Amino acid sequence: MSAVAEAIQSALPKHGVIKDGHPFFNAAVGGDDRGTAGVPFVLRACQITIREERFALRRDGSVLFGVLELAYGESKDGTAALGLRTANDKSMSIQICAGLAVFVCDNLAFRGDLIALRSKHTSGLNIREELATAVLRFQEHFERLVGEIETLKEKQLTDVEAKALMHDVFAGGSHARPPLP
Amino acid sequence: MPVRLFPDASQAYFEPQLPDFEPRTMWSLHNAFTTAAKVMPMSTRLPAIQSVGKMFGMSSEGERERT
Repeated sequence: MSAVAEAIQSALPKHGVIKDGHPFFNAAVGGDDRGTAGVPFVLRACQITIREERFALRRDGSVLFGVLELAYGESKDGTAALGLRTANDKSMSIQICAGLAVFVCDNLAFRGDLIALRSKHTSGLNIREELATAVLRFQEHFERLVGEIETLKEKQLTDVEAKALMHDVFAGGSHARPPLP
Repeated sequence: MPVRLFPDASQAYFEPQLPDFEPRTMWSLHNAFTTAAKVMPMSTRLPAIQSVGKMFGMSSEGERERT
């Protein structure tokens, strides 16, 4: 069993959350019995090593969240992180997003865009092909994220602007617009 | 982001513990939010950080806004 699969297994409650014969968490994240599918396999195929992995289940056990810290795109700021979520109750497809694990403070930054696999819970789903496409898109999104972070670093804020942005974030974004020029 | 984290985010930005985040920039403010979000469980933390990213223009929507 892979480290990822072990992490999932240890996170699962004893009664199990894999319902209706859909071992979807394992298919999406841990790979199949031969280790020939799932995100780790596809990342390895792209020569990307997983440095650290963290998983959590939603309280009702239906949604799995994961963060894979990768040996990819490393800079003085941090290294690439892949955020992942998937459900086994047919409520969502496998979704991943591009992020940065910041070295200096162990923070995580994620892009707002989700990369969703086209099919969900489809019996004939070629999970390996779908994930390979998703990982390629993840790499594109990560490159964009690096550029966006550089833009954020260059944008000076007055205290009034910072307070206004804090308000917008905590107010749920109802009054907010992306503040970059 | 839950409002209860407002004091933590505010302190992280206006009284930063790390010299890297002393400049009053958008990146420092973004890190103030993600620092405050560390106490959240992963199941709510990831969507919250994504939402913050979107509000900071880190999305295709932001790209369209800038063009």
